[in-house]
Amino acid sequence: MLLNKQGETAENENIIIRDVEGLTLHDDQILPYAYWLAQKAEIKQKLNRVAIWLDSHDDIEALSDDLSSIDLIALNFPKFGDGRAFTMAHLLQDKFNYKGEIRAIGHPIADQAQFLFRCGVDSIDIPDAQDPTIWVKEATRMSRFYQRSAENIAANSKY
Amino acid sequence: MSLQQSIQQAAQKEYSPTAPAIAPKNVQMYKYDQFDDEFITQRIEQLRSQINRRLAGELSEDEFKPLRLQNGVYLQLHAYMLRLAIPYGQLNSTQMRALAYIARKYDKGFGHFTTRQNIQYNWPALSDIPEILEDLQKVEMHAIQTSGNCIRNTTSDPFAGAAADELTDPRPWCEIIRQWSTLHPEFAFLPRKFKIAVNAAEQDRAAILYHDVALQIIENDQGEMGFKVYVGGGQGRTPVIAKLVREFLEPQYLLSYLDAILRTYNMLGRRDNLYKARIKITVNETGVEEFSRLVELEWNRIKDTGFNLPEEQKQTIFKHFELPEFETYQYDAAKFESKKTENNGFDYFVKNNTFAHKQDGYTIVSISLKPHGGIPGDISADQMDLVAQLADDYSLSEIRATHRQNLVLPHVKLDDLFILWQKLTKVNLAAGNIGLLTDIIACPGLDYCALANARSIPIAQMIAEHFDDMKKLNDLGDITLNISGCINACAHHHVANIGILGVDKKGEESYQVTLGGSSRSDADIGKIVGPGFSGDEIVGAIETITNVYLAGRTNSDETFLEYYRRAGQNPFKEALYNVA
Amino acid sequence: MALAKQIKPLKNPVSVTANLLLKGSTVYLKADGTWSDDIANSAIAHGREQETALLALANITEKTQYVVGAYSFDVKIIDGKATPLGMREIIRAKGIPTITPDGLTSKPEWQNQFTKSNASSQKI
Ligand code: SF4
Repeated sequence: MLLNKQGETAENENIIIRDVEGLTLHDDQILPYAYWLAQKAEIKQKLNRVAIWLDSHDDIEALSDDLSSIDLIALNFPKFGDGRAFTMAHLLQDKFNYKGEIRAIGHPIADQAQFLFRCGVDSIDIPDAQDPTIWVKEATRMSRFYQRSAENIAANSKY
Repeated sequence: MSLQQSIQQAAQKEYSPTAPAIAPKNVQMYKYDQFDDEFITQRIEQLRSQINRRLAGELSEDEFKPLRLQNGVYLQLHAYMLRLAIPYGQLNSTQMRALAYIARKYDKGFGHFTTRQNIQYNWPALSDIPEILEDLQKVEMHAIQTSGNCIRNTTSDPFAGAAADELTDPRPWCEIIRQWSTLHPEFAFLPRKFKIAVNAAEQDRAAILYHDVALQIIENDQGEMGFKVYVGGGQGRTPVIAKLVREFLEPQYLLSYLDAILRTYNMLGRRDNLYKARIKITVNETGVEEFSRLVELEWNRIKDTGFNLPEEQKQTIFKHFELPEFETYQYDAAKFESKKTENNGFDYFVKNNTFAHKQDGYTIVSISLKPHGGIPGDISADQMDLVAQLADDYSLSEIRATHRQNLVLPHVKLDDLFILWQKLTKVNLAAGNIGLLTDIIACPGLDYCALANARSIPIAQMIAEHFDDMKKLNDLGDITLNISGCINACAHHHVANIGILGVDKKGEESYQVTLGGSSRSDADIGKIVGPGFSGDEIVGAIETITNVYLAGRTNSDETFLEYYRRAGQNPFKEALYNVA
Repeated sequence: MALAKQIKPLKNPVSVTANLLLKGSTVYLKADGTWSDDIANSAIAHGREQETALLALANITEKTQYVVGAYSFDVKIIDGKATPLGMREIIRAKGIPTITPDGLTSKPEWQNQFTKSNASSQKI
């Protein structure tokens, strides 16, 4: 199940590829970053829609040249306490001016949903077996923010 | 009716937990607006739902723990512990009465002031916490980010806005940082906790160089105000003095510069090893030049496009902190002097517990929470109410909490000092030992803390009991003694002139002594003097250490630290361990 | 590390303790799987096998959100009842801090209210 920043859910049509052995490329796959780096040309040529995923320790800077050819970048939470995805989302949006979709995957928790959206994440892949209603609620939990960001409408932020 | 009962009644008349907060008189501090209030309401609702999810089994303890911690809730040995934020240590009298009310209603009638200028309660039930926070909200307080791997309460000079030696009032800047850091979406899951301290005085009374970021407010050659920025200080198992990364930061860039530091740390900080996750390790491993190069790089990217507080809003915040109206009057110096001669206790109190105020005829008064045989930092609800009353009567309703676990009445007229002292005497709050050996910082230790190796409080009590002669204490003069119950160093033992660290020695409590630390501008980290001492031996060891100093100093002007720096560890080693 | 612990035989008998999730206070596992605030009622395990069984029993109530953080600790048996070994567990079992060590009598007036009897009657 996917969650967007308005707190709406949608079916997740994507498959996260963690093991590339014997892989046949499809448009609905989210490919590992290392695989993308190694097979860029082939992937670009074969797919209409390119989606890749980064782990929290991956170097996001190395991606900057290719961004225009990537439709979706998923940021993995190996565990929810690893908060690098927040900064990575911010950098993608603010520093690299990335226009595609940014998604959080792996093991975030519902209580991080709104933080993620405020850092520039567009969608969250709700971990299986979790109640989406909690996520929907947490996505819009706060409506008062001390920090101004692209995601806060002026009326809701203090400054 | 005892004095205590009457205080209690008087206070309860004034503060009813159901009445809206009324800032007493016109205290110069940040006051919530509707936005702030709504923000707190939403945050409490969130915690309430998190607690309910935990109770319903929808959140595991692993998931719940960081969430409760970010609201100040710990689970300790005997009970939950709730740590409330006292932003940069400032309180008004109504807030103090609310703290007393909470101590009575939800706790066991007392609270504990911490080295983070905060207060913690040792016995609340998890189910009471949302209600406690709602009571706090009525007096414009909260517990947000008092723990967890996020940006913690910003600390500062407890004499801010009053001290004669300050360049400017650091509090508005602390408030700006408080707001910026509150639920900052990017920095709520950092590798480890993150502490920022601001100082604007000559003397460093906030130990800023032991913070993740230290901001010293300075004036440049053109007379413009700015920040000298240090990064990577910290205590814990590896104490490190913060390193200079920027000589002069123009104040309008404060927030974008902090964003750049935090962002760099969030990406670089280690997440594989809890003990190496603080920014002090990141800076050491990356090298301070490289780390600051990365910060500058990021800052240059965002300094003009990122978030900096607009001038107009800055002014709004500054307005909250405009100086109160002081009285101009001729204080009775002759009478003051005669009171000192008549009362030894008052004489010591004036000597040790007061500090020069910017306004003539006023003084800054420290209230020692280290009374004879007491528990460092602990204060009863009745004492809180009395302090609130005294603040109303003698200090323009203002109170501060210090990182040395004491309280401060920042604006006291010299003419009122004697009567204030008399009133403090009646409730055991008049100890004139600020800055002396018995002004001990002690963490809760094994009596409360789930992480402890040994007890701190009984050790502090024994030392205070032993050194109970005011004349001798004053002769020993300026000495800091801090006791931590484990290597997490909450009591900052590394940076005390005499540090005591509780360790577990084959199941027994044992105490390791360090010498020569300092948390002031001449910051230094203490060195272990030798093998540890048992609980029974430690008082004797401290006695020996002070005797070595008394015998060895050139004269009484040479402080303990100065002597130590001159003579080194050997004389202490010889006396403690009979070695040559 | 968990594995190494498994192999090493127990030096002392052990009991299992936790904190109540709602209240936070210290409790001890009884043989019937319920919890008591008195260590004297706690079940005692001899050897790793019994310890594992006790922890599994504790886990059942931990899963119902009744207690949190169950673990085993060393005890000494006196008159057939468990008593804590080590300062940490002695303090926990007492339910209040030691605060006043032997030989110290002077304490602030307000501390007198703080006795074992009112410490255990925590309100909820
Ligand atoms: S220093 Fe250790 S024992 Fe003391 S409060 Fe901190 S964690 Fe607990």
